[in-house]
Amino acid sequence: MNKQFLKRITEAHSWLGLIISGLLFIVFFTGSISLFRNEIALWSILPHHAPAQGEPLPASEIMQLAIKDYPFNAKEHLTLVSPTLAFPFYSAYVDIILPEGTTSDIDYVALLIDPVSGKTVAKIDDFYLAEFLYHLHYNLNIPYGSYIIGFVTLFFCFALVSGIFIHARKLFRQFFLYRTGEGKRDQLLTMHNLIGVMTLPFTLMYAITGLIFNLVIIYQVAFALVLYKGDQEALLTDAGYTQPKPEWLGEPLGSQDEIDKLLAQHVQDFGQDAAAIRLYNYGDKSALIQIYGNVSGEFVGPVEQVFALDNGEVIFSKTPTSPNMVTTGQTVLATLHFGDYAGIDLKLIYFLLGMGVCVLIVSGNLLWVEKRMEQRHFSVKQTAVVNSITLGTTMGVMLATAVAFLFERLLPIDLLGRENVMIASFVITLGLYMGLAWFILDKSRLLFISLVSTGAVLLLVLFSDFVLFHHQIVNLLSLGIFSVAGVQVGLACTAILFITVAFSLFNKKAPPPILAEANSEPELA
Amino acid sequence: MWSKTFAALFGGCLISISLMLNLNYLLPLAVDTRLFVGLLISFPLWVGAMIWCYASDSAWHAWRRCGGLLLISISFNTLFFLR
Repeated sequence: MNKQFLKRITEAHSWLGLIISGLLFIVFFTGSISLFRNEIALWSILPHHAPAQGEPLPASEIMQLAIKDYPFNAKEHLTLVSPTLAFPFYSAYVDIILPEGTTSDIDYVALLIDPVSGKTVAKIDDFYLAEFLYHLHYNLNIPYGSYIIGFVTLFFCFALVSGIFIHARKLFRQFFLYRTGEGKRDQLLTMHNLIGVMTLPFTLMYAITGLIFNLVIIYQVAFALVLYKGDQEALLTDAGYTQPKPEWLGEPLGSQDEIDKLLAQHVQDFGQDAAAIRLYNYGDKSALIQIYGNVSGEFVGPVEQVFALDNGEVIFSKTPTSPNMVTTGQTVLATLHFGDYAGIDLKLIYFLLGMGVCVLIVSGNLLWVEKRMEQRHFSVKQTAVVNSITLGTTMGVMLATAVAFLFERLLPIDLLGRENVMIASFVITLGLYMGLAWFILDKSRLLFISLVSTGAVLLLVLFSDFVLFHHQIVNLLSLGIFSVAGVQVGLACTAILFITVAFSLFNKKAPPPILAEANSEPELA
Repeated sequence: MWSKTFAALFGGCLISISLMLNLNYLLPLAVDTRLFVGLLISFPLWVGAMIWCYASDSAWHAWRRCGGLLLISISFNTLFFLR
């Protein structure tokens, strides 16, 4: 391969990798944790509200219970996400009529409803930790964050492809080579290459699917403007997206029996319960029901059907026998991205691969610093800044996540704006840590303290679990619900890992790579 | 680097859109299949164009490369659009 080409590509690879590293670490770290977001959500909720045991109520009754305490806007929607083995509550999204003079633009309430008792367990946002981490993964919880993450993913994809070019000649020859006896830079390079090669199919899949999720709007606009002469609706119809818009008739309709009949028919036709139900003009003669599901036993077999509740007429039907390539393809991509096509073992593999990419990111930054320090006139300030940012955005995010777990567990459930306090705990911890990483010169000591502190916070979370909820957790285990205990095992393993790594690094004579003393004077040859 | 990045982002984006539109006209497949193929291929095309830009001698060289390809591709876009 042309030497100039490789030189330029390597330069772009290292600079762009460095620039996106902080955000990319957040994406992969929170994304890996979010693989278990159902389990984390249950860890938050179940000690407060164990699911009732017995026969579940019909979905039509759950709908009635969902809207009874709210000014339901029947001309909009009522959406119900069905309980599953992984998450045993209904999630209900009730569109409401906003009171006059209200300043909020949030025109719905999101509720968790027990399928057996029909009681509203909590508002979904009351236990926000799992959703917060998931939102950090794809939009940083900020406006336009999904586009920022989209462009970070684009540069990540570039870094992967350029990495293949850079490493191509040694891809197979040095596939199993691990240079432990060499200098620090060689060790880092080996680590970077090895993880990069091992995780390549996974990272390429993540990069492409992430790009499609976050930046598809660019192509959607271009296609709508050129191919469809500005008719966005026509494009969406071809792409298989439907949003029924029934006209309100103003004639009341009791539709409970029809709803339950259609849902029973869905189970009969496709072998499993509907995944989600959306009602339009609920209670009116014009009411429609949209049912989403999947064919039982299929890797991907998306089902979407719309029926009139007045007479059961099929308005729209998309099943594996009449598929749309765009929606089916996107379901395949989403299934691959979220790793939810097998059990917890697959998620653990995804988790390890995701964490591997986190190590890839950190080793890339350290390589950049090492390379700079080998140059005759390297900038001390530049390397110090990179060290501070690397430490701040990696260790800071991990510590802030541990603190968010602690706040999620300790905050009273009736506290107003509970989710905001938890988010503030994350943001403040991260901000303070970034400040510390910037100002503290002895990064080695800071890293040690941070690792031990993060481990200690996680142990404190477990201690709080034990003190506050040990009866409830034992009760859940006796009911065969292992989510809470599973998350606790995960937290305990992480705490032990952090403390072990801290002491193993501290016991070494030489400082760990991240602590390269960029603040000391360079040895000029 | 920054000026090459500018070319890689904007030039790459335009190239991928333009090539995808041409493919959409040319592929003898159902409309939903063409849209999905477009979705799958567009981003790798964009990244390919980025590699091409960063491997250029300079930002001007990168823009010249993008411009040349765009000119050809947009000519076909116009042809298909007017047909």
